[in-house]
Amino acid sequence: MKVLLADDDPGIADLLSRNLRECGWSVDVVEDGRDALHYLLDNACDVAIIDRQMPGLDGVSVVEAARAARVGVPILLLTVMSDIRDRVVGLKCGADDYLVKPFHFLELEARIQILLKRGQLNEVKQSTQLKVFDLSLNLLTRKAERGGVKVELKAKEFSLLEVLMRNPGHVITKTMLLEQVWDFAFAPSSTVVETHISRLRAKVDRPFDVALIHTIRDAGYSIHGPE
Amino acid sequence: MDQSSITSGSAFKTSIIVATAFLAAIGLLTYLLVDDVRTALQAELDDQLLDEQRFIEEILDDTDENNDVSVTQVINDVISPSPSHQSLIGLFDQTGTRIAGNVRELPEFVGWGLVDEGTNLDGEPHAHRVHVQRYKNFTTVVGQELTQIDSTLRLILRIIIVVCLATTAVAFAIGYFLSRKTFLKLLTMEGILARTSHGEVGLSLPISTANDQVDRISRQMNAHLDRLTILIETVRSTGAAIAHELKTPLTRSSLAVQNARTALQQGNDVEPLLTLALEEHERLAWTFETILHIARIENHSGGYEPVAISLSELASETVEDFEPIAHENAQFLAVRSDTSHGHVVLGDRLMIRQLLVNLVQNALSHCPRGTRITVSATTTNEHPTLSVCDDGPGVPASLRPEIFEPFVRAEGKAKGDGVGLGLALVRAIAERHGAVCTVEDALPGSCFKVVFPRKGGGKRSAPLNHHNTTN
Repeated sequence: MKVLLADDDPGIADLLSRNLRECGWSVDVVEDGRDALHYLLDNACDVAIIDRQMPGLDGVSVVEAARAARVGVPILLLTVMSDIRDRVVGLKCGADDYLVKPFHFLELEARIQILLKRGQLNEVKQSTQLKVFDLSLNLLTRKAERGGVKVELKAKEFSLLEVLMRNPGHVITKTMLLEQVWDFAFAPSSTVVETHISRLRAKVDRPFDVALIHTIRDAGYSIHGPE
Repeated sequence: MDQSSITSGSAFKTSIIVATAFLAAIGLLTYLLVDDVRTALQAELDDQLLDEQRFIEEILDDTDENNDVSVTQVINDVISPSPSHQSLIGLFDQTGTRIAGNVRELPEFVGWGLVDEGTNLDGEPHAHRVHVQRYKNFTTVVGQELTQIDSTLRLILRIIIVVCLATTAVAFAIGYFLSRKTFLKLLTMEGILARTSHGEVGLSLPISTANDQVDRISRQMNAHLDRLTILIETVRSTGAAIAHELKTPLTRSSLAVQNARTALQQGNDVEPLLTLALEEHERLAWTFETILHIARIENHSGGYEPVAISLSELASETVEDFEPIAHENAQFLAVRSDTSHGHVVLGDRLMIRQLLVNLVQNALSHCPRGTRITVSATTTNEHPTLSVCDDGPGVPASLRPEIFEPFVRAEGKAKGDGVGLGLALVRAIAERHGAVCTVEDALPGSCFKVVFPRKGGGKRSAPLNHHNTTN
């Protein structure tokens, strides 16, 4: 697996590339927007991590230019701009994901994993039915069922479960859940995600023998069947 | 004091313009007047001369035509022409020989004309206006010196010039005085503004009782200076508060990392310390983020397209999101909404949601177990209103006026829980929407209210009083 990392700060580039290599990926680092674009046009990689503010050419322009040249590699934008509108602009330009600095490396890793999976599938299957082990989710009727038993879920619980089940086996971080289920900012002390996950577990896991929703320490949650 | 600064003042310039215009007008009037006066005086003189002539003719009628002596006598006696040649009189016979009078030679014309007779002190001949007329066998000549008219006119001119000079001098003096007065005021203003620009606060411009234009401007500028003072003081205190709020987690995190290094060297477990450091980092990032968020909202940067938002829907949605947390805290969170209409406001959906989330989170984190928290959407006097009320311990009266200020926290709140920016963000969002947020004593508990403007009411009109408190 090859990762392009474009960030003009040598300190951040150095620490991140070290972490990424520890995950077993090979990393190429560029420190300029134009270099990043040339790299994307001339070289193959599995995922690109591009800083939004770079000398030469800003990240958004790099992504736009790359997409215009039909470069399909999954791209994650890094930025210090956290406003929801900045995120919309970031995603509209053709990036696949958007991560605000500062972040936990586990957060970045989880997002890269999901991007890689998406890159491998090439396109997300537009399925109306999600299934993990004996749990199934009908996206049209918005009904959940486990082992033939109907599970009553509230709107937010359903959305949570949907996000988890779209990426079975992958770590979904708290921030990803906040972004995809709620779109407002919480104080770090808030336990909104934890509380809703615990409610969800009470309905989806507790009545059954096998637990499907797993807590990944310091990272987030993952849904998968017994290994 | 710089004289040129005074003479460049508008009052002085005006006085110059007025004086110039006045002089021009007087000049024109004088020109017309002199001409008129000359004509009038001349007409009067002519009448007088003709009268004299008629008198001489009457004498001639009354006297024996051949008795020249008696005519001469009468003329010399009765008319007594002045030897100084101020007035001329003369009687000549058919041959042009002078019979009587002080005219030496018979003029060569008949009717009106000019004759030089006698000399003045400078030796210049006196010009006389003369009327020559034939009567019976005589020719009569009457005349009068023109210098009289000239001297009269000269007198009039002299008076006018004196009046003009006096008026101009007075106008200049008044102009200079007023200009100097204004200049002194402007000089004071300049000094105060210069001091303000160097960072002095609390200064104000003097306002005189004259209430002139400068005073009006001064009053306006004083209002600006007052506002500037508040802003500068706010920036100073906020700057200090921000520094404190950012340095505290930075210090904790730094200490945790240092301790971790020591622990590592001693072979102890470093994980709890590193976790602590990360938590502090998160707190730091959050504080920073929220400060930026508030600044952005307050600066009106990043405009939004206002959409219709139903406060009732928003209230139910938010309560649904937070009810599980309330349940875990053994609190009761409920929505109470008069559902007959949606209590719709125009605004930014994400911002208004954040506002309500912050109010609810504030209530959840401040109220003890067993507290009942009610979120409601209502409309009072056409003002859509969001409120979050609880029957908890309430906000101390001393804290109420400043509860919406950044970094103000209720005492006794758990360490590290929140950064004291939640309500500041609420206020920034409310003000951005022209809404007013207040906290009231709910007896027991407290009631946070956000009152939105009437439909069609000024959306951007920042309310003046944003933390009304009632007891």
